[in-house]
Amino acid sequence: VSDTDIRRQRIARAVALEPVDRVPVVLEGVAWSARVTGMTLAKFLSDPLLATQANIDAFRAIGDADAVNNPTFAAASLNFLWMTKVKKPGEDLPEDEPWQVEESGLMQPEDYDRIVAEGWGPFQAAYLNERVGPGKFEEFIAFVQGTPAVVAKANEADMPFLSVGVLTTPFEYLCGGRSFSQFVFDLFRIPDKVEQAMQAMMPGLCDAGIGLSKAVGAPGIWIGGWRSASKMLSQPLWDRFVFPYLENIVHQVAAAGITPILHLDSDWTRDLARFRALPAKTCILSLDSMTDIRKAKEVLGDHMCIMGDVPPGLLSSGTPDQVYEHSRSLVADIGPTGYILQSGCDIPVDAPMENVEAMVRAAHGG
Amino acid sequence: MREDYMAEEGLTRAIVEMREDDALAIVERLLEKGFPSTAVLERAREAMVLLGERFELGEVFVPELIMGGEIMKAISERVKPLISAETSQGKRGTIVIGTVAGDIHDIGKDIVVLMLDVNGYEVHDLGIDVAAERFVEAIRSHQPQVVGLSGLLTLAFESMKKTIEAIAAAGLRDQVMIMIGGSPVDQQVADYTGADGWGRDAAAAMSLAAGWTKGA
Repeated sequence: VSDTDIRRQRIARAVALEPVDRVPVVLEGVAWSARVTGMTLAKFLSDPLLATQANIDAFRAIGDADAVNNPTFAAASLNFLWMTKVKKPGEDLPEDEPWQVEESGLMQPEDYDRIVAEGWGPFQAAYLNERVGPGKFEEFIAFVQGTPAVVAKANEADMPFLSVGVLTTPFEYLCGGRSFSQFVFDLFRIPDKVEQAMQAMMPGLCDAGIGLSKAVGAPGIWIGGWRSASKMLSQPLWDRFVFPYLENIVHQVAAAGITPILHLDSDWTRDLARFRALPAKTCILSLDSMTDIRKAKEVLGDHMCIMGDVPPGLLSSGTPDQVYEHSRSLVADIGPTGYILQSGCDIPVDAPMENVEAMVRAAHGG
Repeated sequence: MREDYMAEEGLTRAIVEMREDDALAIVERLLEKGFPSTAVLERAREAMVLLGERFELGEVFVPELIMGGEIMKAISERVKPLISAETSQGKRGTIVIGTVAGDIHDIGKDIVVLMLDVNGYEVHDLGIDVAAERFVEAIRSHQPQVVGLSGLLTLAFESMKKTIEAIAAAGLRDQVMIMIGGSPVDQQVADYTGADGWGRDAAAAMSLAAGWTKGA
């Protein structure tokens, strides 16, 4: 059994809530991987294989991590998930400045009818090209088609990864496309129309992500949630427009034998108990330090693996000792079983190497 | 005391319950009956204050604040032209606020602006991706007691620090109290940037502003 297999098994055992020799630790590096390996962010975004190389180099430099969250990255993924433009380094921003999602409300209220009439897949393809930019759909497809090469490179470098496919809920796709404020107006002014569109989006929503993950042997799929967090929405809105869809997606992914990785930004504490309706010992709940992770352990510790949540601010501006102490307290309180140590969301681009090393060291207890 | 507001044909309640069409219809009826325009606006403002209080208690959420603000805006646009001589009410204080350079997030900042505005502050919103020099210029021209620096990215910490340094270099640091806000901020970030206080939501911003503008 190779060291790489041992790392993979350690993570699989954490997901299944089985005993582990130590808490696994995963890097969600993205822009940080580029910065810490001396690659400009413009170059990092220019080619998914270069992004993979940056992740490999960062993973090797750190040495003792068990996996990376995703072996590569492309701005096209953000276009796809947010249904909007992304300001990119080297194009709209200086060479080494982090990309930013530009939430500008490209989707119009009449698009809800179009989604119902055309179906989500055809609508999204046309929308990306018409509103986000010419060729944006093809850019995303090219990125997806490059996944086998990315996976081969990661495997060759003995860098385990959790996922390659990304998905989100109808709420997030529509909210990103409309912009948060405009989408909020829709939820109050035309709730039935929004609901019809959401329902029309569900058939086939997960198919491409599941197919891709199966084809390349990826263990999990990244399922994101950010604006649909419990902290952002009243209970009636969340119950009607968020959870039924999230639950459906998670069940579809799990039924395909793939680990749903619930990447949940912001605070979901209020609704943690609802996650008990998701398949047991199958999912990863990835928190960004805004959800009460200790409460998550109390409510869901016997039901799903928890991942996170060293605060980005601490990784960015804390000392290695502070990061180590914080990470050790997470290992003690949330581990040892059913827990994966990770940053809360991405490792910030400006996090010093020593701070990430301190987080990884904490998983080893040394 | 809150029950008094219901007397104005449920305007406050309609806004609080997000019934936009009802709220605007009530405004029309009140105006037809000769209800003073300024009083209509005041009822709407009180509804927003009530929403803000409920937000602090966790009873309403960001969408309700945004939608409430939208209804308030519609009422304001309808009523303000009717107000011949705008009564200049005493303001609780002056605040300059913006999302710092390199960061384009505005939802949190906009809610802070809305809540400060309806609570009687004169708010100068500089928008997003605001360069340090623009904060300095705004402090010179508006003479605020409080400056709010917003940011969602950890990269914003560096911009916040540079902005506060620029304010100090311009000799204006002693004139203003500076708060930083956004979900990744904490005391450590406040110490790093040199801010006087920090908060993660509108309630925290309100509390800081109230403390710093007492007697202003």
